Amino acid sequence: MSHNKITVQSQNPDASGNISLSSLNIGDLNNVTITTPTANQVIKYDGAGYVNSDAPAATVEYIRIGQGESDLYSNSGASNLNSGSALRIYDTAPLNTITGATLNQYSTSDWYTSFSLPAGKYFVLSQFNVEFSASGYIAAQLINSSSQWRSIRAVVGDNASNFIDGASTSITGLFELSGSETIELQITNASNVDGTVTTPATSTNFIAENTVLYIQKVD
Amino acid sequence: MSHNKITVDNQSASATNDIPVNLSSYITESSPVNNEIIAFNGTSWINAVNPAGTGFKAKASVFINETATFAGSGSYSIGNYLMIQKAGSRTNKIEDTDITINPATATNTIKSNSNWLESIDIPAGTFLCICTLAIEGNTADMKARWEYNGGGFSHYVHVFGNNNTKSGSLIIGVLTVTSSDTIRIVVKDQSTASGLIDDGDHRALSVHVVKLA
Repeated sequence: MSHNKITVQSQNPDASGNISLSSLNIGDLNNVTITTPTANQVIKYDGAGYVNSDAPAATVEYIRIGQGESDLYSNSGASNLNSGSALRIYDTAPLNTITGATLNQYSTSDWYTSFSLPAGKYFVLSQFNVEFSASGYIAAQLINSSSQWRSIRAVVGDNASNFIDGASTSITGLFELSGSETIELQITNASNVDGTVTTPATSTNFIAENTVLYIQKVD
Repeated sequence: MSHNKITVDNQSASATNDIPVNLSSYITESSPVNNEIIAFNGTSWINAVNPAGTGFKAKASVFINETATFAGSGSYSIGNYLMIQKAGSRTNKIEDTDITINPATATNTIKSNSNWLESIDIPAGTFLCICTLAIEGNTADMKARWEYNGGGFSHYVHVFGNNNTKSGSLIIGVLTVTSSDTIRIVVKDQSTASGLIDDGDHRALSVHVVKLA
């Protein structure tokens, strides 16, 4: 009578019956395939097994609205530039690579009124400007549909110090959302803003050309 | 006579009498998905999401929220650390687990007050540090920059309360440290001292710290 000889990962027992795995490399394992590894590669799962591969690159997800294009603000659908209104942003080819995020535009005007983000952490930069009928200022910040602040408040205008002393002219923010939110660039304070931008006959391209919003998802 | 059935890591012999060994015998594996890698979690090797992530890790952020109401008293001196409101009920705040936002102390700034921060402890790494500065007082001014224990690591800004078109207020620094350190905004010069910044002007004041590498 003969006995079957058991091997482990094709390794035979020695004279004492021991099966050593010390001569195995990681690529010899059953579900690992190593093909000419190079420095700094990692082992990753490819859906079927583990393989060597260049380290997966960082995933950058972002939104950009506003690239200096010209369009009359009267096309934006906005009825005013008063406190509490969204400052709309123009872009014929906005960028949005954030999974689950949406950009909300007025009709098909390419004027964006708000954006929706899924849960996560985000970094934001924004710059805006309007025309004034006299010495004045306009302040704005990111605010969600529940009136919660998602950035600092920035202010521009030659009388900005009448509102905030030495304030930032650019919006920055680093915030965490526990669930999805719809957020807008909202005008919070305004003085002597030229409201004729909503009148087709006198509207200008100034807001379209001078306003931008950049949001990046972060870890 | 009965024979013991041999298994290796609960794997039985195949038809050719070989017992395969999978990577899961060497790591703590849980339902792998595409592009996961093998990583050490401090205790064992596991399959995990690529740690490269976005390459942009939020570490600390503080700016006031929509419900904040508070007043300030006292004025800055040259060399003081900038005080920023940090009370949980008044701020939007991110403070990662390896970050410490330090309360204001009379040793380093206007006064001791645990509702305000004066500095941030960071671990080793490379960090993008951003501050939007505001001041208190229409006639006040403040020149400031980011500093760490080794000195300054950003450009300066010089903000004027009566005409903020003279200077931008955005302070940006990138700092690499090989061990833990402490960062802060330091008042470097002034003609007329700014007061501690109340809720009104504080709407434009913030700090953000992001780990880059």
